Amino acid sequence: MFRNIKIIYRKELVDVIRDRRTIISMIVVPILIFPLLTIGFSGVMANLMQKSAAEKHKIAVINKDDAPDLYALIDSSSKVEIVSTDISVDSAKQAILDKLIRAAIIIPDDFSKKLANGETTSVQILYDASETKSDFALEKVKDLVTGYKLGILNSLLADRGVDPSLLEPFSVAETNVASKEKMGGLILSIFLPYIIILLSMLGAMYTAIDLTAGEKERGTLETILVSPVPRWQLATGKFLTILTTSVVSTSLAIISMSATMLYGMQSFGRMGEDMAINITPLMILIILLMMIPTACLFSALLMSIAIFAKSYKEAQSYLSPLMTIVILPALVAFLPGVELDLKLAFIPIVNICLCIKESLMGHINWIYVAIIFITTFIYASFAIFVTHRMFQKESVLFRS
Amino acid sequence: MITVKNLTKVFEDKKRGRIVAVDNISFEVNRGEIFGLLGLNGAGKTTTLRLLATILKPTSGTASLDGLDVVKSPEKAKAKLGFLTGATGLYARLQAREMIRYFGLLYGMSEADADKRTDELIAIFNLKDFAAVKCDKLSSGNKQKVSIARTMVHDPEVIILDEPTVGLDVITSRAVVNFVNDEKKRGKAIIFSTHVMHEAEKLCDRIGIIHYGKIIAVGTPDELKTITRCNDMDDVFVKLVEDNGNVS
Repeated sequence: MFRNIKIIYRKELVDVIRDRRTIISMIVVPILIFPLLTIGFSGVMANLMQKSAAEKHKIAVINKDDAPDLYALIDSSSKVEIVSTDISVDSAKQAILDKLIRAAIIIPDDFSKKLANGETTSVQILYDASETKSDFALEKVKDLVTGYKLGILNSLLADRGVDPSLLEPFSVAETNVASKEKMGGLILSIFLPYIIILLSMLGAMYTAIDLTAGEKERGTLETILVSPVPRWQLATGKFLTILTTSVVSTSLAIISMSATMLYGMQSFGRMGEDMAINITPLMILIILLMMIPTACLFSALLMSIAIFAKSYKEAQSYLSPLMTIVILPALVAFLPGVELDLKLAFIPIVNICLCIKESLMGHINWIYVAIIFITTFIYASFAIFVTHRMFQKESVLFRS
Repeated sequence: MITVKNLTKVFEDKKRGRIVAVDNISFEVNRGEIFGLLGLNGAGKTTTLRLLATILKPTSGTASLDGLDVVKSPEKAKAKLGFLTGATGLYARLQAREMIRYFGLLYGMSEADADKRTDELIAIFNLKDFAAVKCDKLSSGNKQKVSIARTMVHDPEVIILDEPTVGLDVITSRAVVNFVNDEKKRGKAIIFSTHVMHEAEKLCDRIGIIHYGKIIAVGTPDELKTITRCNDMDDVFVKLVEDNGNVS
């Protein structure tokens, strides 16, 4: 009995590994996906930030004659470039929308006079919040105007013989008590559940199709059904092969992700300095306890669907939508305030995501771990049972 | 030997309703006999053979292979059977030798026995130069040879070959026919299905004609010729089929 399963498992593994597509989906993609995403994303972000910060944004100043001091201050700034001063408010708005300028400052009538008389007045800044560059311009202009305001305030106070430090009787300082490891755990807890859910599914998908619908398409299903191996053993051998590829891709992705974080922290910029990744044996145990039943569940689920299809293409069209469906519960787990409780512990995928997330943050609740491990295994067993039933059904194996 | 008794297979089809693919068929094939099963496409030939191979379960009736009932003990019956049809393909990514050996292991052979038997079959079928070639890289003739070697790996008592010579050149085709004759001399019970009538006439001891799921005639080629008063096997077949055109 186990001999047959072993023979089938060994053959299927050899068969699947000889296919370049499996190697790509099982080994290459899981290893590369995280480093590439990290390097790509943080690289592009840093680049954009730097460029925007360095760029001299073009702005307009309307009614500059009523605020010659402020105008001089802005004009002398290296961060913005005044390109127009004789423009109407409406055309300034249009110019911002047309990206000719990034922001416009509207100085009210008699600004200087009102200031001298101690009357309150307001400066308006026009910008386009849907444009990142305009946002940057707003920040720069605001800084300049606020700086000007503080200067006036200080000189007013000085005129009246008041110490400007009176304005700030005390200061507020923040200290992050979370250890570097905890900060690292936060980042891990964001990515790891997705990786486990997505990769255990992606890793199983290709093999599941190849070993079921692929066999129908290549006309080898009948060959193997003629052999004296009971069908449940055949299904089990195939299931174990799919499970193997699923676990291998997920593990590779986790290892690659941890390595990226350990050695590529600098790409996270300032945040990276406050973080450290410390993977303890306990964390590995939890990850394994969550990953193995998840991989079982997906392997059996994908297999029972793929066996239904007549061809590779048909199987793909059944399984691809599943990706989107599965990612939804994973997203729910990341809604703010969603915490693991007895009810959520029974909802598949959501429970796995929450448990990994909370465990990585240091809240390990072994009762929930046990509940989730067992329930996921029960769901997986049910899926395996369905798969075995499918392998007995003529209408599934010989669908025409 | 093969005994088929009142074998019936009904498919429930959502669009076409109830289809009786195999309708109360009975026949026997003795040791050392080649039984030709002939029929038009869709006559129920493939379904009958699949029922014998336990790939499908009969709706009613049963069959036995070398005394083992295909319904009661399908795994044991299958162990006695070598089954080859157009739908039994090869694993494209396995080498010819691995393919044969894999099935040897599945039929319960030890690793050493499977290796030995694989070498034997590679020699018999002249596959030495192709043993390490992956199956999808083989010519169609060599593919068929590997398939037959796979069918024969456990030296089965009962052999079912569905169009084993289709698409083969004359030399390979003759090698297959000679091989089947040799197996007959070794006392195997063989069902041989083909669309080539003169091949059936030359090779088969008895012929059964299946039409609309029923066996409409059984006999030696000469008996069938006498019944239909035709001389050519093609004419014999056409006459029998046309005379029974309104069976269902």
